[in-house]
Amino acid sequence: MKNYLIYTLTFLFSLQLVQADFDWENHYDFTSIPNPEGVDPQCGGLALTSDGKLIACFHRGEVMIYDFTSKKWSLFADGLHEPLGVHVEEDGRILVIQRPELTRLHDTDNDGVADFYETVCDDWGMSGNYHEFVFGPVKDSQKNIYIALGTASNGSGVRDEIRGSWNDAGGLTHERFTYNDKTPATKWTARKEGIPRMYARVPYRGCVLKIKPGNRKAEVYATGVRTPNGLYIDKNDQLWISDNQGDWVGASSLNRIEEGQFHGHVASLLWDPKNPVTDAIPVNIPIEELDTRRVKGAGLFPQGEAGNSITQPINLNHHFAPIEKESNSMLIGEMNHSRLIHYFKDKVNGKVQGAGCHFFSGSPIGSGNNRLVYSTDGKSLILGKTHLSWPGRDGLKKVTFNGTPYLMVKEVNLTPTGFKFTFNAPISSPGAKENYLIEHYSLKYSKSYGSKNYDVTNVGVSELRVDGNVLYISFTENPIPNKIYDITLPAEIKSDIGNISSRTFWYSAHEVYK
Amino acid sequence: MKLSFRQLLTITISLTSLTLVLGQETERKSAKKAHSNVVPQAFTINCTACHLKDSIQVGPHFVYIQENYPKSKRQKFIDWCKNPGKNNPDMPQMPSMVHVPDDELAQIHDYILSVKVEKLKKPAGDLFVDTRRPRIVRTFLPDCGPAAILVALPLDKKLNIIWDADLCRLRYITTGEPDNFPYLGGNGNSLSKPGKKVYTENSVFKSKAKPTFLGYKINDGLPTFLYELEGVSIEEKISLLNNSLVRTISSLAVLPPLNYVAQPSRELKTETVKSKQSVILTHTLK
Repeated sequence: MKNYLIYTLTFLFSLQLVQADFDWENHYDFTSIPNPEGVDPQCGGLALTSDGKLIACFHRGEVMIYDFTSKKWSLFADGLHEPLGVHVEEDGRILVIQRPELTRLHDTDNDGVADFYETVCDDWGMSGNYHEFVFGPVKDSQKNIYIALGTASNGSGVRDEIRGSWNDAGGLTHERFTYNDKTPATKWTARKEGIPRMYARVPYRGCVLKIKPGNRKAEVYATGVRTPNGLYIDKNDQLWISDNQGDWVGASSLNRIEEGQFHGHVASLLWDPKNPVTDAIPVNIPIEELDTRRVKGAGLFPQGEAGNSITQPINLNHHFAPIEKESNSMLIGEMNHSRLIHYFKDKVNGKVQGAGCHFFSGSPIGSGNNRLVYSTDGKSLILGKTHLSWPGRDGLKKVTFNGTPYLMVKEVNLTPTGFKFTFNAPISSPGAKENYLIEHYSLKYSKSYGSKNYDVTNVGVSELRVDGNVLYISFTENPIPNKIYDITLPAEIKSDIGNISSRTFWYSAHEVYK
Repeated sequence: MKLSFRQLLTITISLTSLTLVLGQETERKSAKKAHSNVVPQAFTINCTACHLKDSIQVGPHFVYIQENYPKSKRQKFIDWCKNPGKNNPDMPQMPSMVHVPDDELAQIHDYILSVKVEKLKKPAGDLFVDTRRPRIVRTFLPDCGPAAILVALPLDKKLNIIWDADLCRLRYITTGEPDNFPYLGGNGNSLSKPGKKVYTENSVFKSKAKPTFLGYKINDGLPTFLYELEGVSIEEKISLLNNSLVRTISSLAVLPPLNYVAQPSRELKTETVKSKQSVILTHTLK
């Protein structure tokens, strides 16, 4: 007992040293929203109604409305098939995405319960594989709807009855994949030899789809996503989609979706409208060819350290953080760890790339943060949690900014000689050069799951300069392309409003200044 | 053991910080470097996504690994990590850890063995059993396309219909309480159980054209399915009459040519009334 106590105390004190520098709870209130009674509270989608109520959809198919004032839930619709997103339209009607279709929920008799489930679009294939999730919907200013289709996993096969025609490019026939509840796991292990880790053999899996207003037909807008669990459209109609680490995705990534472009995961190349792969298994295409064809993620969050299965992006609202106006940056949910990611957009040589740091790390936010929506006043962020068969949690959290300012980084920019960090307040001193922990490394683009950090190299600081809110860091060697720069700022950086809230940044330097 | 006030205070502060720390499921870079003896970095990078201490997520929990790979089976643990097989149908196969050196895999093994966990008892059954009738549930079901809809009816023997939203037609009728939990409680790989099949049906229409599913309206909890076939708008209304299930397939226009042949059923009597604009099927339990 005594030994155990001493051990525990030593352990705790050492952790306290680490913990001491910033406390999110001095700036935010973390509360839970009560779960709806009798409902499996794994949240797939969140939105606000025009009168400020919360709409949430859940794992078992319910769409429910929560009144913040009365703290009561009411059932709006149910029976949907794994709904993973809700969107409130201009006229107040609710769009919801589920595995088989995009559905518009109508309450024609205005009794508060949907009585017409309109199929807006079901123009994609389903193999019955458990991993074929469907994500979205988001809408641009022209009322085009975007959704994204997850790929299938070779953790299992497909059903005899499928929707959409099977693509047997490269000789992978439907029969190779069939699987039912009676198939023993060992038999599947033997059969899946030669089947790629994630596959897209029915229409448009691994693609981003665009559905024009009033059109039941979907068109392939972009290819190359794996598990695109998070769509966001910014005020400039730019579509952003997060993806989870795995094959062809070395680290969880935030993709800036470009029309007609390939974003890296090869399975969907079967469905490229302009240049489809018709005679090969996409994983067998030479990697050099794939590498030139792809658009790289605008933010990569190395596995374990930065991100683990990231989720929905959302703008960083200026009512939710000590910044004066809407910033260029975003928050992104995260499944496996108790935190979010704060993403900073940068542009180098005309290409968008950027950095991420942790947000709410060490706070009571908990893991499994799948969906994010702001309250009407923007001061609160509501988080819907899930886990399905992965790590995570369930239920809903509400986090409210109490207005007490704290020191944060507002922008991260690459410079020809290093980096420029812009803070939200003047900083006192840059600290000592030797207290900057900086390294760069590469991630491998390959068919293997994830990527370790290759060629990890320490980076020396040659010069530090502070100009009001801005910190300039110059390196002993100028930044080089196709690297992740992993930068930990020293704890000594301080301001009138206290210590810095997050100190480690991962910058995806695909491009550097020439 | 007697503790002074100061000692108690220290413990209290420490426990408070423990609460904070435990909420934080990972460590920052500085923490990682300071405490590599607590959680090996190789574990954080390669394992945390899938292996939790006390509950099954993507892969098995620590307790399972501790039971199956005690210290004596170190090599077996390393071999499995480098060349993993598949033991459990509900879990995906682990990716190979061949990129992690043996000494780091050994560190990971030591770490997993060093963690003391009380096995978390997962609730044995479904905590959210839904037996309401009528109810409409979209899920994966056997002998149906993946866009399947189950309607549980408030009739004797718990009659259910299974309707295919891709083919826009009824596939079969079952009795008994359907069980969604095999699908919902796992990773989605297992099908829901629809009950005992008592009746199957072929397509009502001769047409080989692909219908377009338009959705369904709900009245008193029962659906009216809407679709188009060969340009004709058709609905299939599900209603109840004196403990019978009545399916009214109708159109404001003339229906496409009919093909209907009900499969004989020992449990269900089916009566059919046809006209140019409708087919009414009444199913009664014998």
